[in-house]
Amino acid sequence: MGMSSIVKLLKSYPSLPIIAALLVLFSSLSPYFFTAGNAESILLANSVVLIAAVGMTLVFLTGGIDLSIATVISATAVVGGVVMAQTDSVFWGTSAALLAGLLFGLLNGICVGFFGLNPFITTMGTALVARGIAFTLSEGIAVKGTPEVLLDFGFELLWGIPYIMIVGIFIVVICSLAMSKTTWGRQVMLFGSNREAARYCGINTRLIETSVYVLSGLLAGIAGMVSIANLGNALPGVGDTLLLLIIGGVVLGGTHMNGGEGSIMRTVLGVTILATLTSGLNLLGIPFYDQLIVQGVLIFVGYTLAMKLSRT
Amino acid sequence: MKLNNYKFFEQNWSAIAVATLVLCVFLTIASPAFMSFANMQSVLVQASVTAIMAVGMTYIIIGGGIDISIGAILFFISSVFAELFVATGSYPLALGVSLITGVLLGAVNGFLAIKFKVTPLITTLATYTIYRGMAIHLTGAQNIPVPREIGYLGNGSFLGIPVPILLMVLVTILGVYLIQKTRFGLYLRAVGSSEESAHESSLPIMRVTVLAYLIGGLTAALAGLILIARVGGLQSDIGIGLEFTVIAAVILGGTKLSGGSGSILGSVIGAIFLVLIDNGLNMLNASPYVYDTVRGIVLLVAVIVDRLSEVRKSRELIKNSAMKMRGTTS
Amino acid sequence: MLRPFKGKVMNIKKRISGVLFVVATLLLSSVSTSALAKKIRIGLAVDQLFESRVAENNAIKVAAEKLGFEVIEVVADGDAQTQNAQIQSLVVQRVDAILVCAVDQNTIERALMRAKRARIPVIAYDRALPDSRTVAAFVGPDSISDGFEAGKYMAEQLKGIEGKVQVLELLGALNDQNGIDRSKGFNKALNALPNVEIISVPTDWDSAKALAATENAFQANPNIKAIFAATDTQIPAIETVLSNLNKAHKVGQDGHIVVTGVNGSNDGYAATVSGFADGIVVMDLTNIGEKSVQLAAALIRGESVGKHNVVPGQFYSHDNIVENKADIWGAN
Repeated sequence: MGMSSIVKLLKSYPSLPIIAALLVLFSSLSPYFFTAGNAESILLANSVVLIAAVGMTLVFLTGGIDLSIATVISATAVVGGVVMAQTDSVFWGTSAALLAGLLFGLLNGICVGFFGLNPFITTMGTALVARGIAFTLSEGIAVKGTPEVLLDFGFELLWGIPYIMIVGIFIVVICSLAMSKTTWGRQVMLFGSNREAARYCGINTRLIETSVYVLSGLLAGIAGMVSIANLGNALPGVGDTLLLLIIGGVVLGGTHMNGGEGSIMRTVLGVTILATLTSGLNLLGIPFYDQLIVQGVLIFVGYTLAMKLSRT
Repeated sequence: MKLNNYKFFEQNWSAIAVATLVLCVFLTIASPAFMSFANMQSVLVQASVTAIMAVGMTYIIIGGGIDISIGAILFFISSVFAELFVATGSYPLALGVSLITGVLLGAVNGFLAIKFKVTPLITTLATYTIYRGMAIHLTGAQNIPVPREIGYLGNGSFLGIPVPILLMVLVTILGVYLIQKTRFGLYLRAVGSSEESAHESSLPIMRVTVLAYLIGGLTAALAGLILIARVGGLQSDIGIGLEFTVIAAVILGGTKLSGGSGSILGSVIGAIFLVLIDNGLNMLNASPYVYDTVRGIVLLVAVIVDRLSEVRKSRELIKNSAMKMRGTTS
Repeated sequence: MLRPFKGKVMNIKKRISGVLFVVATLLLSSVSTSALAKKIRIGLAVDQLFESRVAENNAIKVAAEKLGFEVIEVVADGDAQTQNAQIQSLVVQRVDAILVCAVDQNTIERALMRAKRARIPVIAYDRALPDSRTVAAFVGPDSISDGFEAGKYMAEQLKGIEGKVQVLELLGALNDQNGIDRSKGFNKALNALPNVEIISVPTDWDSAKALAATENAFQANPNIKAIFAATDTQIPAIETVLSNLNKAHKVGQDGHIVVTGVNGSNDGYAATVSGFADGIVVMDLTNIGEKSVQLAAALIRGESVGKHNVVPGQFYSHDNIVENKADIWGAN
């Protein structure tokens, strides 16, 4: 492998050095880190974040942001949970959760894409609405009555990989393909790097911008269902604490906030960094508050580094 | 500003002022307990924490930035205050160090965002995490009770007026003065509306921006001292999610995230408006969980209405200028 | 997630450090596993740190040290998902037993099932997990009794009053068995009085929420005669509201509002000494901590243990709290 191919690799995946460093560091410090059991535990704990981070990446690529994604996960989980408690059907629960996610996404998409509202404020408003709905519907308590099928799904492995992470991988593959192989994907990238140019090319920019928010809502719905499979019940605050990990994963991967530069595979790496970090620090017995400090520093330094590497 | 050409409806805080008045009238009709002196006082005291922070946040937003970390700054300051007071027993020392720490944390935000050219959202998201971690590290995640006697900032009153209200008024007046009457205010608005042209006219961008974030940190510190005095101690979940309430107050007050202009007074009224909504929902015996949904809807409606009126204005402008042109040609 | 790009990572690693790293890792890991294998290790999965929890954890650590056990502590900071991941990491480390205080009793079961599958005994401490099929035992406060004692004393104070008596109950949290049980016990005690109306507000154990709830309750019902705080750390917030309303009269004064609570923190102690509060139920945290370690030791030895182990608290009133200061864990 020549020097130029390394540079190229670093340019498209600027977070690789951090991942390598973390793997080496934790493997040498904890005997439990590089084990199958720990890999399973990392995969289980990060499926929800990964799925949501894919949605956030799509929004970032257009130069927007979706602050509502975290609480929409909570709201869709509760909606799915309530419907499953009533019908005992995973199908209806999933349909309801996806529909709810779609509606929240549509609300964001129409406000941002068609009304031209600021994405930060719009999605902040939606975030509040979703949070209120999650807590009102559940009365603040986890919704019980998840069907056994879904519980088993959350527990079982396929070739050592938890099913819920296979859902995540599936979504990563589908969305990556959509970004690289379809006209829609190219239009999203063009829109993100230059709106005016996209408009002159005859792209329906309003529709493109709306579509990423809708997808983001839909993915949040899937993440909500996955959270039920993982935790066993629908927790009304399940997504609220994940916003930092979701945005952190996307920017650490090297996707730019202003759009046009980035990819879903980069986000996979970014999420991996935070997942590895949390797992390693837990195994080393570092208290959670010190983990927060490390996380924050890493997000800032990693983002600055990623910006530099992907530009050079 | 002369009174005769001071047009109320052209102020960017006029919409929120009208909305607040309408809400007050509605609540007075709906509940006899609303329009009492005690309740008004309680509304203003409840609004003071958000309002004071909203003043700082308005500066940051006018300068074209955003600060997600102010809730964490508030928590950090409360921790520093509680720890120092318990350790030394000296109120002035704890107070002084806390306020200075607030200034420093805010300044760090501004410095990092400008120096490394990292989007303020990511910068302050990172510092949010760091500040929170540092604060819990400092206290070992323990709740620290603060004696009531020293809670003057939260519970005391001066000339019969509760101190939090006085502080809110003071901060508002200072805030309006600083943005309208000083060179700093002028520069800040210039930097916020276009950093490029501010750079070309060689304004001290770094100094101005850091100062704005610094004010944000200082107001968060002051708000934190009021809050722990009122709650009676430090809890590890103090300040979580507060940044979004504060930003909502600023936006409702008529300030735009695009930077360059904004209204301090509007942000303060926005904070009061949010408390009035809670107050009204409480009287309707609504579940506290609904509050968030209502706030979200109010925020969305406000920005949509604002956007629509903007579109209408620009259309009228185009129409007017077209008519003028026709007038000159005929 | 490690799988899809492991190849790329390996490429870079080869260029940087090569085989050396792998050898070093293997050496290190074999050395440290054999060193750690001797000592019995207990995983302590904590929901969140606050005064009473820290006191309880300290009691656990002291008891564990006496038996020569090592304690591995993880704190979830109130997040259910974090806690599940942390329990997983304790399972990965093959600890000998897990003591858990759940963030959320309805979402912890899956993680505990994984512990059970790895044959690690689980003991719930402080917060009962009534629906759990995996927990071997529970040790904690007798929350029904604690709530009842605080309610009983309040009912005695309110006995003489004629007409409707409104009482504000600041409930803990509805997803926490201690909150639910304290409320149950408290309501049972107050049902002795036919003319009492209880206004119950959940606070999620949050003092800022308790402050707002008390403010709002007094605004809607200015004649509230008594307040029960599910945790006495909320009493200072209650005092703030009552002072603003000029209703903060001490025990024995005219217009005094009866205030009782459960816990035993310094907040509750100080308020009861000053006479703002009538009394508090103090939990016996040292006893709870010791018992949970003893149960863990028994389970590790393979003995069978009692499933439900509760330790009732003790009520202290304004009249006798100072002389019993030594028994109140939070008093300083």
